[in-house]
Amino acid sequence: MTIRVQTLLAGELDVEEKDLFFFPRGLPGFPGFHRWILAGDDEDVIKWLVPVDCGALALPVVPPELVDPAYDANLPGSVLEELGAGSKDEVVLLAVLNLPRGNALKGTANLLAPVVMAPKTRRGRQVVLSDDRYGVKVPLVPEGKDDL
Amino acid sequence: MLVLTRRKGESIVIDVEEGIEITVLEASPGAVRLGIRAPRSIDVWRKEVILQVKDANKAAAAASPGDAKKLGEILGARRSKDKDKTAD
Repeated sequence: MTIRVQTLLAGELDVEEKDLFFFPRGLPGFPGFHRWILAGDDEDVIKWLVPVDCGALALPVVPPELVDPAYDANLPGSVLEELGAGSKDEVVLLAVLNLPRGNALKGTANLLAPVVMAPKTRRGRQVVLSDDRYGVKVPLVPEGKDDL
Repeated sequence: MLVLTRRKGESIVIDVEEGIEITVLEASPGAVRLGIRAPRSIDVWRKEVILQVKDANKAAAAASPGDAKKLGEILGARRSKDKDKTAD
């Protein structure tokens, strides 16, 4: 079955049901949206999480390793179990970005609470880690390195 | 707000059927250590942390695709630079 989503990002998108991710709890701040897709061009590093029930909404995300190459989230076994994943290899992690308008270089990534998705079972949830190493607002471009 | 006094080792049950139980494990001046037993369907968060995550998610929705595209190119370039480094 195909679902037509009117997105702000990419206009009208035809989404196959098999491409949906189901978030039983929604996301903190958006508890009512349970069906999300990962949209964006293949060549773009930044992708977008879009709830199919509200195409006007889009959250930019990147693989957390792009922000912190040593990123190592310790996911509780209960989370993997909930997502139906046998191991960490069966899930994909994404960090939600905050990009101030017109000043994206001052953007930050939420490394404390990655969105965890299991492509096989199509389930996902945002997980708050118990880890002092990671924050909710980690700078994407370190101070003084704007010339990259 | 319901206010109850509990001693170390004592518990509060929020719903007997659901089995939500909070136990005082340690109490010292200025800090209390709690043990929480709840079904997996119940989310338990430190309040200040979940509020931060909620705010960050809401703020994320304000991003403009144009900004993201530009930033993505910068981040992508940084990644390929890192890869070159590893290749050396």
